[in-house]
Amino acid sequence: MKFLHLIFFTLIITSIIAVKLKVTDQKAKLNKISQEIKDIDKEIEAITTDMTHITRPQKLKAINEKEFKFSPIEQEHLIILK
Amino acid sequence: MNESDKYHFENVLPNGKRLDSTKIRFNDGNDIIDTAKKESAIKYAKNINLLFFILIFVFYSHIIASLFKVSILNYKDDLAKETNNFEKRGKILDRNGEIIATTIKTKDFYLNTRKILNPKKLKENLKKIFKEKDDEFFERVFSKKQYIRIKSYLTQYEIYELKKIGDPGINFQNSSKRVYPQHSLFSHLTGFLSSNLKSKLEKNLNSKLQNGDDVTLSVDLRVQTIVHEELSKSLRTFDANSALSIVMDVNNGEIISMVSLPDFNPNYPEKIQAFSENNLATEARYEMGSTLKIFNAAMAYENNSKSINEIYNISDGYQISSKKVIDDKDIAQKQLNFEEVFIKSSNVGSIKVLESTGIDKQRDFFETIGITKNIDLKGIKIVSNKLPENWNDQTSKSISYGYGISLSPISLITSFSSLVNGGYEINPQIYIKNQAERKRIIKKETSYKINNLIEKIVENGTGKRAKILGLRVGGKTGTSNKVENGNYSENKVITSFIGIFPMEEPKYLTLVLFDEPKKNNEESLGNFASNTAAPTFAKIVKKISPILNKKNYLYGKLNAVK
Repeated sequence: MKFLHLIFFTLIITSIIAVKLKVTDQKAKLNKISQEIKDIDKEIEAITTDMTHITRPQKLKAINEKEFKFSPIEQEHLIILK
Repeated sequence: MNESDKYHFENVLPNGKRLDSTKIRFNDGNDIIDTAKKESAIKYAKNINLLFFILIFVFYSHIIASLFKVSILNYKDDLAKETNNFEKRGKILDRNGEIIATTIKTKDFYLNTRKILNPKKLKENLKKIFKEKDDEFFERVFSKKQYIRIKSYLTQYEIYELKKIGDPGINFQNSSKRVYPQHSLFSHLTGFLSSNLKSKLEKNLNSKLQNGDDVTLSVDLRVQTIVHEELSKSLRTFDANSALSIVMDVNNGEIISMVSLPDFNPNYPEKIQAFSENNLATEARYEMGSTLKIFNAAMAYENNSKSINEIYNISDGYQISSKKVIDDKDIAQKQLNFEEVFIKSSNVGSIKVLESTGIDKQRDFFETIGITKNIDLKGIKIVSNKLPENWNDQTSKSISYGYGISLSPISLITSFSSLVNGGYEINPQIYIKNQAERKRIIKKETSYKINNLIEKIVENGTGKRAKILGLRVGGKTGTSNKVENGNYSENKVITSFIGIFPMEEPKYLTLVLFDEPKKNNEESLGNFASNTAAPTFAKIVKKISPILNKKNYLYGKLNAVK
C-alpha cells in the first residue's frame, strides 16, 4: 500500500513536471514568435511611415516638376457624356 | 465459584508478593485486552492514513489545478500583457487610411565618457555624424567624466554610423517619437505632441490614442493638399494676413478639407510662430458681409414673402441711422427685381427685401437654421458666434447685408449647407460616421430656389470668376470692411466666397476666406471677394472636383449602359 502511494505520487509529480515543462517550452516558443511579430510590425510601421513621408504629395509634386512635368487632371479635361 | 467469577479472578492478581497488597494488576492470559488494543491502534492508524491520503490528495490536486490554470488557462493573458507592454499610441488617419500622425520607435544616443577608448578619434567621428552640433558642444561633453545624452530620435543613418564606430562609450536607449509625415498639412487639426506638451486632437483625444486606438478623420489627403497649395499661392498673391478654406459634404456634414493659414509644422513644435497655431476656420469670428444676404433670400422664400415679386429702387440709398446712409455706388442698374438684388449683391435691396418680408422674422429664421446655436466638433475647439446684444430693427437691417453679427466660418457653412441640401439640418463631422436620420428644417422648395439663385450669381453676378468649365457651380461672394479702432476701415476688408458643386445635385460646399488682402489678380484698386476669393475657389474646385465628384465618371457609364 505504501509503495502504491509512493508510485502514485511519483507518477503525479512526474506528470506535473512534464506538463509544466512542455507548457513552459510552448510558452517560450509563443513568446519568441510574438516578439518576432512585434519586431516585424515595428519594422513595417517604420517603413510605412517612411513611405508616407517620402511619397507625400508635396514631395511627389516636386519630383514631377523636376522630372516629368505632368499636369493634374482638372474638371475641364473631363468629357462628360450625357 | 462459577466460570465467570474464575475468569474474573484469574485476570486480577495482587500486585507484588504480599497478599494483602491493595495494588492489583491484570493478567491478560487470553490476550483479550491486547487484541482490543491492537485493533484500536490499527483503526487509529487507518484513520490517520486516510487523513494523510486526503491531505496529500488535496495538496496535489491543488498543485495540478494551479498548474493547469497558470499554464493552460492564463497563458493567453500573459501573452496579451507582454504585447501591451509595447508602448503604442494610436495613429491619426485620413478617410482613405493615409497616415497623418503616427508613433515610431527610435533610439536616443548617450555617451559614457568613462568608457571611451579613443576620445580624440571618437570626437572627430561624432563631429562628422552630427554636423549640426558645434565644436564647443563636443568640447564640453568630452571634458567631464559623465553619462550624457547627445541626441534624441536618431535617424537610421546616424544609428548605422555610430554602430560602425563601435566604441564602448556609445550607448543607445529605446525611445518613441510622434511624427507627422504630412508636415504642416493637417497641423490645425492634429495639433502636436511633444514630450511635455500636446494640443488640439492630440490633446483632446489623448485617452483614446493612448489606448492604442487609431482615429480616422473625414478629411482627404488629396483634397487637403490641393486646397492648401492653392490657398497658399493666393495668400501670397493677394498679400493677405491670413486665409482659410473648408470643403464639406453638405449632405452628411463630413469635413473633407480644412486649411487655415498661416500654419505650423507639428514635427517642430519649438518653432511654432505666434498666432499660427490658431485654426481660423473654427477659432475665429468674422463679419461675413454679403454671403449672409443668401439667408435673407432664403427667409423670403421660406415665408413665401411678397418681396419675391417686388421691384426695388436702390438709387437713393438707405438711411439706416441718423448718421449713416447705405448705398450701392458700384451697381449701375438702379431698379432691381428680387433675384437681381442678390445677383448684384445690393445692400440697399437686401434691407428692403428684409423690410418687405418682415424684420421680426429674421431672428426666428436664424434660430431655425442654427446660427444661434453652438457647434460641437469633437476634439476641435469652436468659438461661439457673436450675436447682437440688442437684436432690434436696426441690427436686423445690418445683418441683412452681413454686418452686426460675427460668425465662425464653420458655423456659416453649417447653416449654409441646410439652405442647399434640400433643407436638412446637418452637424459638421470631422470623423466618418454612419449617416443618422436627417431632420428637415426648411422647405425643399426654398432649398431648390436658393440653389437656382446661387447658380445665377456665378453665371451673371458677382461670382463670375468662380465659374468652372465643365462644372455647374453656385455661390455667393462676401466683402466686409474690418473694424479698426471701433470704426469700419475703408481699405481693410475680409473677402470670402462660399460655393457649391455640382449644382445638378449639390453635394460639396467650399468656403474660401481672406483676411485683409492687399492686392488682387486684376490689378484693380479695390480688393473684393469677386477678385480674390471667387477665383481662388475656382482654382481649388477645378482640381478637387475630378477627385470628389463621382458623377464626372458616372454619367458616362450610365449612358453606356442605357
